[in-house]
Amino acid sequence: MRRYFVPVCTLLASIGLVGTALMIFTATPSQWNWQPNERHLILSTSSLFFNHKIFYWHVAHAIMLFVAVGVAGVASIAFLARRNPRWDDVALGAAEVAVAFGGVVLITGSIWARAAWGVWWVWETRLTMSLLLWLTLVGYVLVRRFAGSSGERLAAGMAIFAMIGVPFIYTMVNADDRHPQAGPKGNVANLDPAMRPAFYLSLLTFLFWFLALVALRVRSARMEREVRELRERGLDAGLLS
Amino acid sequence: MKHIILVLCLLAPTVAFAQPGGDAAALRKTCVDAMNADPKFADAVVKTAEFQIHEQVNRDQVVKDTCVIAAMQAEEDRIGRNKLHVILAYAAMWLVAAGFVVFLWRRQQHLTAEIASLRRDLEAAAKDTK
Repeated sequence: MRRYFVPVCTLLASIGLVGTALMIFTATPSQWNWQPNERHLILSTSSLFFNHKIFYWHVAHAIMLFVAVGVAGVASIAFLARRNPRWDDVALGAAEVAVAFGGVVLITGSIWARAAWGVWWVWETRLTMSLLLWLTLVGYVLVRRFAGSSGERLAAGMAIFAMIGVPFIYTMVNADDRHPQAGPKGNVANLDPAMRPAFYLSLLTFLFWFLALVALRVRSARMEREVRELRERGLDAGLLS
Repeated sequence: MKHIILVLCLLAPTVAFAQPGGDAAALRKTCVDAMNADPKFADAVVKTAEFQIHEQVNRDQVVKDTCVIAAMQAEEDRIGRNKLHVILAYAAMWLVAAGFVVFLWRRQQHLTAEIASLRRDLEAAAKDTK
């Protein structure tokens, strides 16, 4: 069963990716609208341009980033509580995948900002906090890479710290922010019915992709552990120098 | 009769401007006298003048709004049809995903080779010890 987990998840993600792409470009609205405001017309965040097609994969990646950070945080808590290295492997795998997903979120978000707002970056609340979250995750990976086994607990603390930041990014956004709003009254919650199938399918697609990547990374984390154990065994027995 | 005087009053400044030094003073005096004599008439003259001023202002505003809307719509059309950014965003996503998969694959290859090598070394060393 374990043997087929990654191939099955990858296959499902591939099918979902094709389906999502087809739906995004054929079954989602492409029009945009003006928001009348007394004498003048203003461009509101709910207006749809062609560049809103970035939304379906950008937001799906952002949600998977939050899921990955949550998994890394919970696995780190379990590791600190039980000292079972298996939880540490899961935390490491999820954190590295979160770095990749976070990179996609920041890059696609920046490109979308350029298309919609005319700027590559705005120092608004959610963008800044997302960047800080991503830097925290990069810090986690660097600690794991260079601090050796002594860095495991420090990295676990960083993962928990990153997990605590996620609800802030999702909900604590000022109303005057230019970024589309999240939370219970946000854009995702009030998504246009025509946009929902493509968005939910892309969420499912990237969930399978996330699971496949985490499983692969956890497997290589276990192999790294095995290499360390083999070396220690060799050193203890005086067989390796 | 009042309407005729009203029209005359409104025409008076134009006529006076067109014929400087002519009957402008006399027409103006007739108009002022009529306004002084009848407050309702004076009120009607003022209201007519205000209406004309507002009409002019509204016309200017409509022209201004039309220009702004046209400029905004042109910009919106440009942004709305901009496929380059969508292509860039999707390409970035593919690149990051492909880079991460290659990174994972190479690491696993390296680790598999290292585990095999270590096991071989350990077995060889164990045989030598025996």
